Amino acid sequence: MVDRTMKGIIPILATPFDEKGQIDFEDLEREVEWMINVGVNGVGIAVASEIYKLTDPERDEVLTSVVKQVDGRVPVVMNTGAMGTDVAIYYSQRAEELGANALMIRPPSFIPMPGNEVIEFFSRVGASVTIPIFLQDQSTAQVPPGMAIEIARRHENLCYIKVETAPTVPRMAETAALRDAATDLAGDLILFGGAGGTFMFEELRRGSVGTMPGSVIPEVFVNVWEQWQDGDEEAAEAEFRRYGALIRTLKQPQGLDNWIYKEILMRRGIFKCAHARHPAVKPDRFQIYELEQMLDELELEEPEV
Amino acid sequence: MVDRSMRGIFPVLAMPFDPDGNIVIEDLQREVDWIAGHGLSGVAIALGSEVYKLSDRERDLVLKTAVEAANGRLKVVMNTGHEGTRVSVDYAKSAEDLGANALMIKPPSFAQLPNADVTAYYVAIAEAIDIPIFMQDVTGASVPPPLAVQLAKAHENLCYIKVEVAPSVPRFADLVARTGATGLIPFGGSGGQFLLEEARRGSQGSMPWSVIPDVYARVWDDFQSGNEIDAEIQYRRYAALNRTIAQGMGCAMWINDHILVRRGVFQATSQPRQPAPKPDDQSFKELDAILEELDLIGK
Repeated sequence: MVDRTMKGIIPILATPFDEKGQIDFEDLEREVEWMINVGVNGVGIAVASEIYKLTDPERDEVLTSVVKQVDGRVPVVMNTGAMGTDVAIYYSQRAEELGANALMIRPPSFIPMPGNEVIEFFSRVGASVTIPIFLQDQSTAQVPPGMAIEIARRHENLCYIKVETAPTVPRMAETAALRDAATDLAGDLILFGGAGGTFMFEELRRGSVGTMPGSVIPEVFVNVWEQWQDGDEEAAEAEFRRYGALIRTLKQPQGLDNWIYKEILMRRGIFKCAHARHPAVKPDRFQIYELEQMLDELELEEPEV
Repeated sequence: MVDRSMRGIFPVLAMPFDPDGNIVIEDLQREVDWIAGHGLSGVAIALGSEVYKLSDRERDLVLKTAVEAANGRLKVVMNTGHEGTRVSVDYAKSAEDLGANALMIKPPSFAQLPNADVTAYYVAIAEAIDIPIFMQDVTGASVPPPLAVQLAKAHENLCYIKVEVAPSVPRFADLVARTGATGLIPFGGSGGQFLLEEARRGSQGSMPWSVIPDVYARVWDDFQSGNEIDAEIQYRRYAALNRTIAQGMGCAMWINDHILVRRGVFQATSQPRQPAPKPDDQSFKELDAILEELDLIGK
């Protein structure tokens, strides 16, 4: 029986690069250590880690480094999606070998596929490993609620889904309702939110059990998650709303998000450099100034690592 | 000479409908009056007004109502885009006749067109009228900065642009660096999410939603008079609300109606026209919590 206990805050790590674009493993270790210190429930290596800009050897190196640093203290989720089923299987088996505790995979999207091909893709990948898989439902590569149920029926490893197709709030509710109605599934599709954690609480209220935000304010996410767990919904939400403008800033697409994550991690003393691999739209100097204003107002505490 | 003086905040009007889908003219008048009372520069009747769900007769009625209610206090911008050039020209002339101060038009997008055809579309409309046009640059029907500059050179009426392709912040910087002597006047949109970041990069105004005109008036004035940091700190308080509205066009219509009801502008039964997916009951409770925190209820 694969691990069905994951929940809570599982940040997606930013990948630290030096100015030449080489991975800085020392910074990566520091980032992981900080996550664990603040009490996250897992870490992920995924789209926000610029995983699609890594070579195959680099994918292995990053995962190996993270697994070693985590040292069994929390689960490690690795994105192993690919445009071809065989490549996705290769990545998935390799990730399991290197110590990943779960995988995250979005449907092939380079050429949009009909539903039965997507279901078969997940069935084959699911059967090729012995760890659980997060189906990833994104606007440009969707796993609609009905399809998610079909996929979950195909293999016991296909038991998590990260719902990110906007608007996520009704999407989460619909996925949960279909899951609950599918009595043969026995609740075996566990829902997570993503999309930067923007609607974390609205999603929790509709059936998600956790979220995968970026890695820049993990202590805030852990803190409000714990307040929520203690039943203090109102305080958790009021506290979280303070970070609304920052979270909005983190959601600018086309690589701006990657630069901004790392500008913050640099200012917080976790990374030495804010470099994002090309192609990625770079923020202008005003954007850095605006970011600093926001961080000043939020008075974030200095990370202990 | 075409009116090149428009600047500042032009909220996109929410459209009040009763449960049978009839326009509630009295609520629309109250909305325009409320916005004018906060001293804003204009209003727009556009996609956020569900203009694409109105019949031709209703389009005219709504525009006439807004122009009368504005009574010269606000400029009125009317969306007159259509997939066909001929119909778009007719809509444009009719809006000008009814008193619109400017038009807003996105490129035809049902079939993707080469730049030459987009240019011919805009020029044909511009030649038919004597009021300025806001070209609308949206994802799926974009007017990229180099094309925008060409269009501005092609006709003097093509002198405004509303930039909404995400990420909008670098898009503004790119556009402003290219406009030069064309005098193209950029505005922001996208629900006002990056209102002040855009202003810092040369945006001359914005077309956000109509639900917090009081906040926009305050924040925009502060920013323009040099109190940038105060303006931004003020505006950041509304980020969770803006996020909630920005969930998608269907949700946004319901959410905006609810806010306008809570603020006493629309009657209690107000709702969007179908199709518009309705948020669940819980969503309205979550929204009320945000409105209470921001002290926006009943005023």
